[in-house]
Amino acid sequence: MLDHKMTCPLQTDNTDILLDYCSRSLDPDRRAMFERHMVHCAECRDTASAQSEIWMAMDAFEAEPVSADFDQKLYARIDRLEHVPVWDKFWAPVRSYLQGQPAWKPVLSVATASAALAVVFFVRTDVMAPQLMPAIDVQEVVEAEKALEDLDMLGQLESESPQSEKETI
Amino acid sequence: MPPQPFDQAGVKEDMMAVATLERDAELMLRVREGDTHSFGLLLERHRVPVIHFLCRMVQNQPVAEELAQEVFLRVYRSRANYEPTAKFTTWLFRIASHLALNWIRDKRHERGQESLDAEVQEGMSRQVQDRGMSAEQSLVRQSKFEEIRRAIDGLPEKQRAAVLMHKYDEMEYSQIASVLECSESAVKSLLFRAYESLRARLAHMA
Ligand SMILES: [Zn+2]
Repeated sequence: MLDHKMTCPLQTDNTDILLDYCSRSLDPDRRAMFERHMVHCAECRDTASAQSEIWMAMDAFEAEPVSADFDQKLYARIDRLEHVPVWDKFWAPVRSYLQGQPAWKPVLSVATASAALAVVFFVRTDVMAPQLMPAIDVQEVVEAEKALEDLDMLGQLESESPQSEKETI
Repeated sequence: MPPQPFDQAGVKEDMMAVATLERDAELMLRVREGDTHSFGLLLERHRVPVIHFLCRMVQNQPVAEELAQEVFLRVYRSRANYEPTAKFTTWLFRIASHLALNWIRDKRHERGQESLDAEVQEGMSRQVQDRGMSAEQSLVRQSKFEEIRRAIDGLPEKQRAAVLMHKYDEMEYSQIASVLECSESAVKSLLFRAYESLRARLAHMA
């Protein structure tokens, strides 16, 4: 329990008490206790005072309003995404897998170019009407790969233990 | 110990927070089922916080908006396999943080810190505008803005991300930890060190 005889938060791992106090998010009981501690701890008193100043000063760092055409641009990109050729959707996971294999990397570019040429060749021989087969866009393939990566990110969130120390900061 | 007073306001806030979380997950599940209107609602709720976070991270408005486009595009692309097992905003900010951190690292690598700073200043130049203030007030505001911007820009990227989520998005330590893929205690220490640097850099403003 935190009281006026407590170990100073600055000397322990409880520095969040000081941050929460300055951001006014400390619960009333702990707030009162920390205020009692500050009466006789000059270091906490000075740090809290400086931190409160910074906390308020940071309000000046305002962000700019969002562009009016932000949604319009996004929906246009989504619309393009919705019309990714079926062939691209098939190729993306294969390409993604191969990219994980270093030895395949030089071969990959050649394979991609050859496959693209092959598709263009078959399309040109009236397999599909031209308006149904947009030009191969490497960017679209890359975007399909990114979707897989993002799902990995969601997967990591699910399996993650909040207490695990994955990384030293 | 005397009984604790019932914190009605706190409970109400918590219930609203839970409702918001469930609403995000519910909307995303509808998006998964092909409801584009629900995607529009998610965009409406999270567009501004995501763009503002990115803007303060990369300190360049056009780049921030471009990265935000990518964030929402990635959410949309991943809809088919979405499962509401993780907090939606955590996932959203994790994607945003990854993109911002990569952009900062790539730019620094490509051009060197000096030119990155010049680009940042250019990208944020529209930021400080006169909003019906006197010339003097506007100048003071601009100078304050610039000081804070530079101090935040001077923080290591991960500290910067943590401070921005803590200060401007009012995120809990646990959520920041999830976004940045580290422990809660690491986030607390990261934040304390970041604010320590800011206090040192901005001491003359106090
Ligand atoms: Zn103390």
